[in-house]
Amino acid sequence: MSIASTVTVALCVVSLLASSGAPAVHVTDSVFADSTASALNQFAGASFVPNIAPSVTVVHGSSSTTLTWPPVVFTGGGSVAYVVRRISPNGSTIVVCSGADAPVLTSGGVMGCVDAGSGGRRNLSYSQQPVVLRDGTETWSLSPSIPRRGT
Amino acid sequence: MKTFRKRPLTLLGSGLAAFGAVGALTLGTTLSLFSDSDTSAANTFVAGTVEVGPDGASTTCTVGQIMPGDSSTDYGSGSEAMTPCTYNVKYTGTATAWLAVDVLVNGGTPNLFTGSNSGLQFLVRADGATGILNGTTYSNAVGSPTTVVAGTPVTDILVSGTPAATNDTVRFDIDYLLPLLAPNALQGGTAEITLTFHAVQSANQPIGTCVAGRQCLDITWG
Repeated sequence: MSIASTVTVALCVVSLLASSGAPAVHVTDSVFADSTASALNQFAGASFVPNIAPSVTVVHGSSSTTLTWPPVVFTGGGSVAYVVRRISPNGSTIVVCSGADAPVLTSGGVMGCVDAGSGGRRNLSYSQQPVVLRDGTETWSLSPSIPRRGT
Repeated sequence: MKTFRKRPLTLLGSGLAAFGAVGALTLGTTLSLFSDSDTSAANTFVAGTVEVGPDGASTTCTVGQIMPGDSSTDYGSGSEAMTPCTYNVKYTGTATAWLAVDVLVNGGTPNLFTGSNSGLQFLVRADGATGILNGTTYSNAVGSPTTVVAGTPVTDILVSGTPAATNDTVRFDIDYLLPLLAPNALQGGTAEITLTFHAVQSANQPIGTCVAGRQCLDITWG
């Protein structure tokens, strides 16, 4: 190979290298930046324990019916109220144990109330539903317990 | 045979001698010029820095057993009895910089943050003035309220229309509310929020149409 042809080849190689490197230089687009992240801020909602409303134990008297069930705790710390419903054989329901007859925690550690308007009828069923009131507004609740008949 | 082999060597020796003589002539020529040099003073280049970091104590929220009606002190409604989360940061770079914040809201199953007015609400403000999140929305680049989607980060909310300088600080407050109308399905739910504060050089980066409190897309954030 002559000197002239050797020089020509070398120039071609240099030219190729230069052209292949050019785009890498032109696409540089960098800025100075930095960042810092906060810690994780976590929130967890309150809940009922147990999370299924306990069934009511129904004991019929001659003219009234006594109802009891295990209390439910709300982990949010608010007080739990109970909506007690009397269910007739035809499916109609009425709220009982309200006002002055509202359920109370008995000395036995269970919630209880007396349905003075039952007339002692044994074909009635009852359920209770725990609810949390806040400023007079019903907020969270559990589904009503499975209706139970008395003995 | 011996005579035939000696002749080429003799010729080669003669040739080398001749080249040597020419070389001696070349080396013997003295090439000397008068010259001098001078060096400028050192020209120094120092790059500016862009750095951010925590500034003192922040308050990380770990709020358990939140119930409908609960809220932090500056939310503006609800019980306002709970402690807000705070996040204090400082810009420590030497170059002036644009500051922005990213927000990521996540949740478990169920997720307390529903992206609606019945789920967990966040009020995120910078230095008590610039709104970053308002309930469940942020302002996009043109100022339209845009719903935050859990698990999808909201990026590049501009903190201020003025570039930050060394030692500037920003306080982020996160106030929160779980509305009274939160559905039963949210009992026992969880949610979490993280802020990522970031800075980028303001030199050679005009603010464009960006506005504090809105998502800023005219700046290259790096």
